[in-house]
Amino acid sequence: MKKLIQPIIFIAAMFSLVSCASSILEEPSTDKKEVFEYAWKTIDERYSFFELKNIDWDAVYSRFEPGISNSMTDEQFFDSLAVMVDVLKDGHTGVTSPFNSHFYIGFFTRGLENYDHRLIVDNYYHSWGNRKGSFYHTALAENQVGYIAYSDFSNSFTDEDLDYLLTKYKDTKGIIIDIRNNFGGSIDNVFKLTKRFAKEKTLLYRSRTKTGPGHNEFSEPVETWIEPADSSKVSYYGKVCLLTNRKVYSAATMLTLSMRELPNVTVVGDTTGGGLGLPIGVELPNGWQIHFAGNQILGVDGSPSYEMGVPPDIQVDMKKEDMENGVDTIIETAIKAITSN
Amino acid sequence: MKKRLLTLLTIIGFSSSLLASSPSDSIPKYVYLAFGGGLNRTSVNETLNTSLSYTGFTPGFSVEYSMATSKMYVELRNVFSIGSLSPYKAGSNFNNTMQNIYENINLNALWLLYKKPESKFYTYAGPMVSGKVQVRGKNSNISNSAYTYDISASFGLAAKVDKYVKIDHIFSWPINEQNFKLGASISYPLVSNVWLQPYSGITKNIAQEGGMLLDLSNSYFGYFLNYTNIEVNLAVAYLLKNKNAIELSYMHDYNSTQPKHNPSKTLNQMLSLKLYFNFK
Repeated sequence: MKKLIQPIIFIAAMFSLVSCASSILEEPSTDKKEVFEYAWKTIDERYSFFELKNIDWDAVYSRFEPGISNSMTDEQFFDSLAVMVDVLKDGHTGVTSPFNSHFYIGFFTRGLENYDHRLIVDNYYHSWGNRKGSFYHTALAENQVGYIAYSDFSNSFTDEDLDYLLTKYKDTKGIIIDIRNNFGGSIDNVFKLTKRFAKEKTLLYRSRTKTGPGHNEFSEPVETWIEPADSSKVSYYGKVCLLTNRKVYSAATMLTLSMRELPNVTVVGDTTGGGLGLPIGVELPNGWQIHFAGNQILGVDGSPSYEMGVPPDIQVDMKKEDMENGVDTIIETAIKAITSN
Repeated sequence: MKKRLLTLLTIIGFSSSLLASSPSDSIPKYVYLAFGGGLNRTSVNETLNTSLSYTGFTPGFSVEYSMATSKMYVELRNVFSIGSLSPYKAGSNFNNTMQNIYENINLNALWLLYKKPESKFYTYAGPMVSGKVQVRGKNSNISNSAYTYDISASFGLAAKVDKYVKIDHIFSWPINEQNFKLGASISYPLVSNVWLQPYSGITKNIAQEGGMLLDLSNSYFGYFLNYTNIEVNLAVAYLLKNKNAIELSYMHDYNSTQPKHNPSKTLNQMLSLKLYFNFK
């Protein structure tokens, strides 16, 4: 009997040890004060643009904390968090819950819309919709200029798509790439596009990430270079105009920051919306999530200010009377820049 | 399928007489190749991108090579599990999930330190090296910081005790003689290198062409004050007449990283059934 007990004790020990997991597990909290504290502190320690935007985050705590209590409904609490993160005025900032998602979209209200899709369809495409992958395209100015519109970096494209377009417009005086109203998406597209217009290895930008809770604790900047596309792919070294407006955000702003470093590229239109801090996030104790910018993309000059938008080489605002006459002054300026000697 | 199962049972001698030969008084010598499968309860308490604890049962598998001579015991073991975890004690308000991959490779070379042949009790101890990987991804809207990992490569000490038990009656009822081996082992790293996601959960090269989610340049030197990894294994093996064995085993692998920021704790508790094939 004694011998039988030994295996039984061993097996019982195995099963009882399985219950030990609770020693490292913590129950979630729905206490709204606790959730608020966690959200505020996480942003305080990890958000990457407090200094650039001159935000007093302690004052934000003082403003919002007294209003937080467990008597609030989830909707009210959600709204409080949403208003709090909106103080950052950052399109990469938001709150997500099972019943609602909030993110800041006010970044594009800093300037005019500077884009009218209907106007382009009526007066430049002439209702002629050429589409290759995610690109719409047409020839302009009596085939002297190729026009390629790319309005969503979330839609990918293939190397074959670019090969086709750059071959089609290879004999033009220049190409217009219209990324107005492009809110961004995958940054892989930045490199896939930029290298087709780069004749030599080029420094595009620098980046640095938070390394600690201090508002200015960052890693040493890392340089990002681009190599020209390999010879099996079609490249274009003629004049290129990149059209931008305030709704060019995130990865699309990153494309603008990158393309402007190429000597054959001119940025035309309005300052972009910015959004150069890659978004990161955390899960709050009640299961909701907040996201915000967690690093900085710096210009070649080392400045983080492009977070607020990359300025164009040629600033153009679309005037109401021009639009009423079916003229997109940003496209027209680009055509002029390409066709003039 | 049924045929295959029968063949397997025949191979391991399960269908033959369960009367096993008594282990001799000399030290047991064997070369085993073992395959196991079971359930791994993984529990995670990390701080980089969540304030929630996650837990769940995922399928786990193991492959093991072990060899015992009159002087030492050598074991090379690989454990792998993959699956989805849920927030601990979360209500219906939560739709968060975590995908988890666990990999544990362990090499122990242990010397026989103490033996008591009359009671079939053997104690081994010696060095161990281990490599452990745990990669986690969340479905939440937390963007580029959804992935975390802790990877460790360690050198440390391990110890193991084996006790052979012969059972020939239950209470006062005589039964055919059955032989079991009870085993317990523990390992603890003395020095480790621990790789983790950087402070914000994104790598420094994420904004570069082909930017990676994994940055192995971010690591720290681990020792007993800042890295704990206790692995305990318990096993009851039923020794078959043909020298193969069936084992019920339990692995308890507690891992705690304490870097400057974002400490994490994980616990893998795997209950598995292993089939041991003797090659000696």
